[in-house]
Parts: sequence; structure tokens; C-alpha cells
Amino acid sequence: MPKAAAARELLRLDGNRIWRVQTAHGPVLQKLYAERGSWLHAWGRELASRLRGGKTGTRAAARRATEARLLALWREQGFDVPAELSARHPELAGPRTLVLEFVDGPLLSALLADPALPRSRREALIERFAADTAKRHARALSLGEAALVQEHGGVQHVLVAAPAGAAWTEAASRPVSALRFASFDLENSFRARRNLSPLLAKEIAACLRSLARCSKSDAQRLRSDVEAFVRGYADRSRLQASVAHYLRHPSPVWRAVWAFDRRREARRDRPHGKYALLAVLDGVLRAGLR
Amino acid sequence: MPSDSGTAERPERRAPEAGGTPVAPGTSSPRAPVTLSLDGLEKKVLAGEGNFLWRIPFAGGTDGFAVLKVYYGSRSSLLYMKKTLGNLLLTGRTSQMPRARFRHEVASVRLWEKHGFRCFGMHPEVRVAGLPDEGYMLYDWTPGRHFREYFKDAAVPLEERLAMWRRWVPEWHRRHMIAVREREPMLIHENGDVKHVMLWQGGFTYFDFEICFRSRNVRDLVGREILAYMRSAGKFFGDELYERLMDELVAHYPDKTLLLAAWEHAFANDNPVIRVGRWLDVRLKPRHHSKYSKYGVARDLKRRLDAASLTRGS
Repeated sequence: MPKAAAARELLRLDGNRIWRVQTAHGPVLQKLYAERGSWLHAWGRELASRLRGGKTGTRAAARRATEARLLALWREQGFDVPAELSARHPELAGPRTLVLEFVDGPLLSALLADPALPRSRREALIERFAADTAKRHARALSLGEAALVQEHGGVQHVLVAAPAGAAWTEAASRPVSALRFASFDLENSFRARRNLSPLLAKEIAACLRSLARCSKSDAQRLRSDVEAFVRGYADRSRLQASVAHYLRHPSPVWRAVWAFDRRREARRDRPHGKYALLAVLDGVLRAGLR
Repeated sequence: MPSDSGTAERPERRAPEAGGTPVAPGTSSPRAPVTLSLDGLEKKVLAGEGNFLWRIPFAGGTDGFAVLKVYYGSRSSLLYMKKTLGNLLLTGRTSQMPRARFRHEVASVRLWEKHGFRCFGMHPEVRVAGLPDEGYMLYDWTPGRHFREYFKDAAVPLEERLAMWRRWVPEWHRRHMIAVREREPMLIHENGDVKHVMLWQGGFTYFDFEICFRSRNVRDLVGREILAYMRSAGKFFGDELYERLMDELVAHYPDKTLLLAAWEHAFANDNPVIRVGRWLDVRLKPRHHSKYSKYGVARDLKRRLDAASLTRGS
């Protein structure tokens, strides 16, 4: 970072901070929710978000409240997330902070990006991730609960760890089924709505994009990763519905919106564009699984 | 010389543990009244401007001594009044007048000791002939080592000094936490720096509480105090030790958001008027550009907290 930019950086607090804190009961995370950008920027983003009406608040206090609520909800529904420990550590908790369980393990995205990871292990990790996602989507649909759809879905928001607090170093070689897959970053969410299918399609597209980032532009590897995702997700009809939502929407209005968005994406020349990845998924679904 | 009753046996004072075991109430002295006369008493002057501070013989005191603090110092009444006006109208502090300083000091010592922070033991039962009521207090003679001397002492191995700092940091945090929780500005050390903490009998002893802040924005006061301590650490101990103490502070001070309050005090005050004032302050006064100005230390702390954060800006 240039010197002037670094000096400016020291004059403002832009975005969250997460610190690891050692306590008498072991390490925990102290997460501070801070505004992003200037007050005008934060206020404008909140206004735009409210006008669109689809998501929870973007201001720091709203994000803290959303994360506390979602951590409790996901846990109650049996989905693995870091425990919220503010009540156990009142000395670290506050109106701008939450105290979270420290999950000792790497990001799933970091594991998948490791070129030394054997293909069978990589695919097993992706299958497990997809299976957990499918289970959560099924629960979201059955309960009509939009908060069970992850707004920032993807392998970059999953920590892989040993169960029951064991150290990751001891767990790295365990079977994938014996590992914890703890999702995090739940500070933004969708507001309640009747039809959850578009939200599921959005999260599935985000998952594919996160896998594509790990494949490092290796088309062959990306395809095998998407195949593993399809095997793990299992519910092909829901995957097909997600593809159809973006590539073959029944409404001409939405088809026009996506066509416009697609051209914009092509102009940006993104290596991991949503539409290109959904086309890969479409191809895998049409070809059938190996 | 102290009267005979001054030799009465005193209750045992216990040093608070690192975790903060409360000091037993009534630790300061026996209840039996004692009257001292200053005539002919051998006094060693310890200070003599804002207050007169004398070490005097005192039967039953540590090494046979006690410290008499007289809040009427050598300053003129006019100067006390001028300072009082500044405190009350501008800086949000309590009065500078002698009786007010006496009252705040006594109340602060009692409050700090109630929460387990050791201060100089008081002898309110001791009267001194010829001095006005609420104008003086006899304190235990406490020949400990000031932080300022201890941390500069090259004869003490560096690791030992850092271990001592690591032991003190959680106690420092505990006081800040209680102050914020109870919105109690008297738990903030207005004159807090490495000159006003002492190592004594294996624990930490605090002193100099004549002036307090009045604001209930205690979080901001915590930030100010952290800056004051670390600025004094930089000035007295030099760059090398300052760097190490800062590293240890960021690593071992539990509530990082309270540490961040120091940066917020300097650069992100909730009050826009104060924020603008500080913005002007840092630009207009050349001394605020130095490494150990409050702004310099605040930036340094922010840089370290950012580096320690697992994520930034997400």
C-alpha cells in the first residue's frame, strides 16, 4: 500500500475487524462491526438496500443483530456455525461486538486451492460442502425461511475443522465425513419472502463462482469440481431450476434483465462469470453424472 | 511525633492478585482517633507545589513512616481558581480547589479499593493540629518501585519486565471494563501514566487521584487513559521498549475494541464538535506530529490492531 494511502487508512475505521482473544476457556473471536466507507456511503447503501427491500440492514448495528439472529437460527436448525459466546464472555461483548467460537481449521477455499491436494480428497470435500448446502436449502424451503439461504455463500465462507475442539493438525487426514464444516459470515441475509427459489439460485451460482476461483482457470478441473458439486447436492431438479432461473427464465422481463446483465458481465470479462459457470453446470446436468 | 495511640495495631493489607481480589474494607487504618502535631516533627519533603507532601515518622507505619499530603500547596488561591475554571468549563475535570481535590482523592481511593485495585492506605482517623479539616490526609508510606524506574532498569532482564507488563495488562483491562460497565469516570486515572503505578509487595499500587473526569462517556476516557500511559511509556522507556510493550499490549489486552477506543478518542469522537477540534488540533500544533503525541500513539495502536485483525474491512 502506498505511504499516503496507508496514512489515510489509519485515520478511519472501514469495515469489520475480527481479533483472536485468548481467554481462560481457550481462544475466542471478538468481532467488531464497523461501518463501511464514509457515513454518506454507508447511508446511501442502506437507503438503496431498503428501497430494493430484499435484504437485511447494511449498517453496522443491523449487521451485528442479523449475525446474532442467524447464528442462533442456523444452530437451532442443526447447521454448523461458530457458537455465539457473548453471554459467556461479557467482558468482550458489547453493543458493537459479538464474541464467537474460534474454529481451529482452514478455509475450505484454501484447502481446495492447494495444488498438492489429491483429486479424490478435493472432490470429497466439495461433495460434503454441496450435501450440507442441499440439506440447508431443503430446510429453508420446508420452513419458508429465507434466513437459511446464505447471502455470501461459497467455499470461502466455510471453515473445515476437527470435531469437538480437537486441533486441525490432528484432523487433516481424517475422513471428510468426520470433519466439521462450519459456515460463517452471516451478517447479511435475505428478508422473508414467499418464493425462495431465486435466492437458492443466487446462492448456488455463488457457490459455483467460489469453486471456480479455487480451480485457477483450469477448465478441466472446474468441470470435475462442478460434477462433484452436483453429486453432493443430489437434488438435480433444484439445480436445474437454478440454471433455468438465469438461463431460461419463463418471464420475458427477467430474460431481458439477465440478458442485459450477461452482456455487462461479458464486457467486464470476468473469468468466473455467473452465466458461464451456470452453463458449465447446465452441461454437467445434461450430460448426466459419471 | 505521633501520639501513642498511633502505634495501634493495624489490620493486614492484602495485595490484590493479578485477577483482582478486592482489598478488605477498612484496610487503611484503625478506628481510634489520633492527633499529630507537626511541631518538631522530622519531615522529609517529597513534593511541594500543588500539594505539600511530607514523609513523617509514624509508629506502626511501613519502616516507621507515613506520608502526609496537604492539599493546600504553594500555589495562590487565584491560581487554584483559574485552574478550577479551566477544569469545570473547558476540560471536563473536577475542581482544583484543595478541599475538592481532597474529597475526590479520598472517594477515588475508596472506589478503586472496593473494586480490588490497591491504592495507598489512608488514615482518616489521624488529625493534624493546625491544619484545616478536609485539607490533608495521612497515607501509608509505600516504598515500592515506580513503573517508570522498574521498566527502565537494565539490571532487570527484559523478559522479566515484559512478563510483569503482561501480568499488569489484564488488571488494567479489568479496571477499564468495570469503569465502562458502571459508567464510572472516577475509575479512570486522570493523571494516569507510568509514573503513577508502583510495584509493591508483589502487586500493583496506584496513586494520585485528586482530579477526576466528569464525563459519563467513559469509553472515551478509557481511550484517553490508554494513550496517556503509552505516551509516557514511549517518552520514558525509549523506542525499543515502547515497541515491545505495545506488541504485548495488543496481544494481551483482552478487549481489543477498548484498545481501539484510544484511536477513536483521537480521531473518531462521537461528538462532531470535538472531532473537528481534534482535527484542527492535530494540524495546527507541531508537537502533535511527534511519535509520542496522543495522535501518533493512537495511529500506532490502530496500525497494530489492524495488523492483528484476522480480517480488514470485509
